[in-house]
Order: sequence, then structure tokens, then C-alpha cells
Amino acid sequence: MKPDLHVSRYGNYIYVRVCDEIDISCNRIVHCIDRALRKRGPVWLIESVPAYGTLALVANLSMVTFSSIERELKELYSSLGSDPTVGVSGRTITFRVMYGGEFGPDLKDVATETGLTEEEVVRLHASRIYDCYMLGFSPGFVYLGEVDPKIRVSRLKTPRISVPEGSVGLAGSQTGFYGVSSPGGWRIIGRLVEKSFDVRRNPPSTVEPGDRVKFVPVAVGTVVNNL
Amino acid sequence: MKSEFGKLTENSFATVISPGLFTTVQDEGRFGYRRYGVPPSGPLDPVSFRFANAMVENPLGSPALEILGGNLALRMLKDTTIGVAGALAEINVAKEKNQSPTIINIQRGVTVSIGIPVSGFVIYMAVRGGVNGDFVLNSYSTYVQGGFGGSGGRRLVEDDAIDLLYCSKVVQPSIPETLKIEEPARISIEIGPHTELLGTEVVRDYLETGFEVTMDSNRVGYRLRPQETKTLPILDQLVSFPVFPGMVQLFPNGDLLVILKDGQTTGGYPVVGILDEESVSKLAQVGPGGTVYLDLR
Repeated sequence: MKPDLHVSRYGNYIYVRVCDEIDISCNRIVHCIDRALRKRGPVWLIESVPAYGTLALVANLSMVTFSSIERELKELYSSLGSDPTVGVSGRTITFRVMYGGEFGPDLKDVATETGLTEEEVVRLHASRIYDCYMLGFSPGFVYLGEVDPKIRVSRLKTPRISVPEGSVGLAGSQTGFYGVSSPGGWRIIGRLVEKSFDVRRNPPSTVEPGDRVKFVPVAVGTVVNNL
Repeated sequence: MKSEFGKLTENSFATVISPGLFTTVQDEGRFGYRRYGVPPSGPLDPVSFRFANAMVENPLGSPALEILGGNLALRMLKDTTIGVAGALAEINVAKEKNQSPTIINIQRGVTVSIGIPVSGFVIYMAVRGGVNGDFVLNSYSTYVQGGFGGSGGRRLVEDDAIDLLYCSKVVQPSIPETLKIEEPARISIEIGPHTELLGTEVVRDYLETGFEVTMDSNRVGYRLRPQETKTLPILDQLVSFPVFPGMVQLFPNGDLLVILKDGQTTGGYPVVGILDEESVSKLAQVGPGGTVYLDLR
């Protein structure tokens, strides 16, 4: 069933809430509203920020009232039909990943903890096409899900002071990668070959929220464009 | 990202003798990239930032130096005009003493030194023509955690040379307001996404308690520690949602984190209130070690 939209305003920010969980069908609705709104390009829209169950909008409220924005959003939502996600899907972006060794310092522990071999962890991680729920935390950090239940592990007890850019991590039902070097607590199992985030490009991130991501394992020693 | 910032060129107007605690180049901010996890950056106290630019007749939002905690000394390489605003501090030019906010005509060869603020924390030094820096994702603002923009994605260091941008002079239609710096500060705050969930009256009562700005506060956020122990209902960790500068997160231990210009774009802590731009500017000026009271409107 199509969930109701909850639209609220805090300062110049408008929150369009679809749900309060990590749920892929709810998240897809968030991305559908985001795309439809950006396509329409209303004059009051400064910026839109999709997350798991919420789309946040930065609005120019000197141009229009909040109630007219609320009306426009609800009207747009109903125009998307009974299942807004039908026929809408992001692109699928493929990244090559060097798993294990110096690039994936936690792969060994993940294997031990899950009772699998390193090869099995890699195979399970690379066998799914993931949805990008959102980007956040740090520039270009991509949140992906869902991970095969067999390779779900908890975060590190003590986060690392610095995780190199391009590192691919696991945390519960989520996987993801770091766009820039930053502190981090995810279990690092590999490193992207391709650079996913580069401020010299516009947009800076290869992955848009709502896109899908596929990982292809490659041998360690592959040229790293990242460095 | 490789940066050429800091190298001496024919456009350099100053070299750094003493960089101060945390000095960066900031313009109005970097907009449109939150969806990729990139915060806006830009001035912690936009009110004083705009005033400094207006004083030297720069276009609105021209890049300027943001000096946290003062203690900056520059050797000037060109004849120019500077506007200093924000926190109240002594500015020595050659042997002449000045007080901010002020406009000073500078002759090449002199030393400009800005002292430790007597009141407030954030100082802006605008230079006629603007301060040049790395232009990244449509902004000259420095973002240190991301390592890009403005002053090479880092704070100023000794011997950096700083270039002029040579933006055109504009006559200001009206001079923006100056910020009234108060300490301790009473700051008004509006309700946030989770205020009602926690109980508006309970939150109001909690926010009126004085808070100390902790010493680990920075451009990412100011952490506020309650002066008295009062308890608030604890909410479970929430699914991450977008957050913005000025939003006030409640941590499980009772501390508040006011998200500032270099803060994360998403967060999972309840947001108990939101500060408007003027309130954020006032808070920025309180600085680490200062005291604030939050009045929920």
C-alpha cells in the first residue's frame, strides 16, 4: 500500500517523511519523489537531500508559503500513481574491488566470525546488486543494502582514526564505501579500484542516491586509480 | 586533492607570520552537494562575515579570512584595505593600535596582527578585492575534514602566501547589521523534528539550564554540556535522516551538539531544536569555554 506523506517545516527546511525504518520499498519512494521534484524544478527548491525514509528540502520560503509547498508535494505524490516505484530505477554502477590483504584488513576476522572462508565472504558480498539508500556521514560515503544475512557483522568496537578513501565496509545489513579518508567504524573488507568521489568532477560522486551498485572482485595488484 | 594554495605569486597580498589557532578562507558556502554528503561549509557567523565584506565594498559573499580565536599576524605585500568584524579584538598595524570592527588602509611592507578576542571568538578579515583560494564545487570555502576548498582544504600555516581574488568593487545598497556579542549569551531556539516527541515543556525546561561550550567544539559542531544534571527521556537511536547547520542534537548522555557549517549531512540523534542564522552567529561567537542559555520559542 502507498504510505502517506508527512510534510513538516523546521526553519527553512522541509521534511517529507515516508517512513522511519530502513526499508527498501519506502526508500525507493523517497528517491521517486526526489527525482520527480527535481525534474519539475520548482522555483522555491534550493536543494533536496534524500535519506532512508525522509527527503529533506531546502526551500526559499520568501517566494512561497509552506502550505503551498505542502500542497504541491502532496499533489506531486498522488500524480505518481498507486505504486510510485513502478518503472523507476536508478542506473547500475559497477566497481571493481580488491578484497582482503592490506586493502581489506577486516576480511579475515569477518570470515572467522561468520564461519566462512575469505573467498566465500567475497563471493557473497559480490553476488548481490545493492541499492544506494543515501549518501551521508562524510563526502561521498555511499550506504548500500541489503547484505546477505550470512555475512552480517557488527561494527568495530573502537572506530579507526582514519579509513582510506575507497574502502569498502560492512556494518550489519549494510555495506558501503568511503568517498574520502575519514574516521570510521565499519569492517573494511576491500578497496575500490575506481575513484568514486572526486571534487574536480560535477557531480563529485559516481553514485547518485537511488542508483544500484555492483561489485566485481579483482586480484590485488590491479592499478589503483584511487591513489 | 593537490592544491597550489600558499605559494607566493604576483597576486599575493600577504604572507603568514603567525597563523593563529584555526584560520581558513570562507565564502558564503557550498550549496547543492548535500545529497552527496558534502556539507555547506562557509562562515560560522554569517552576520559578521557579511559586515566585514560590506565594509570593504566587496560583492556579497566574497571569500574572506575566518580567524577562530584570533592571534593572526600577516606581513602585507600590497597596498590594500581590510575590514575586520566579528569578535572584539585589538588590531595592530605597524605601531598603530585599532579595535574591531574597523576599516584600515594598509601600506605594503607593514605587519598586521590581530590579537586574542576580548569578547567573542570568531573574527572575519575581508580584503578589498576578496581573498583567493581553491574554487571547489562552486565555492571558495575551506572544508578541512574533506581536505578541499579555500585555503587548500586546511587551515593556514606559517609562511603561507595569500592571494587577492580581484573581485570588482560594489557600492553596498545598505550596510548589514552588526552582531551584538553577549556573554553569557541568551539564544533563541525553535522547535525541531523531535521536540514534541520528547515533550515541548520538558525540552524547554532542559534548554533553559545553562550550557558550557566544550573545548573540543569546532567548525563541525559546538558541543554543549549542561551545567546542572537534569534528565530527559531517552529516545532510541533513530534511522539516519538529513540534518542541517543550526540543528541541535541530543546525545544519550545529555550533551547537545549544535551542528555547524562543516557538520555531517545526516545523523541519527534526536533533534530537539533549531537555531536560525542569527542565533547560530551568536552561538559561534560564544566559543569554546563560554556559557549559553537556550530559550525555546
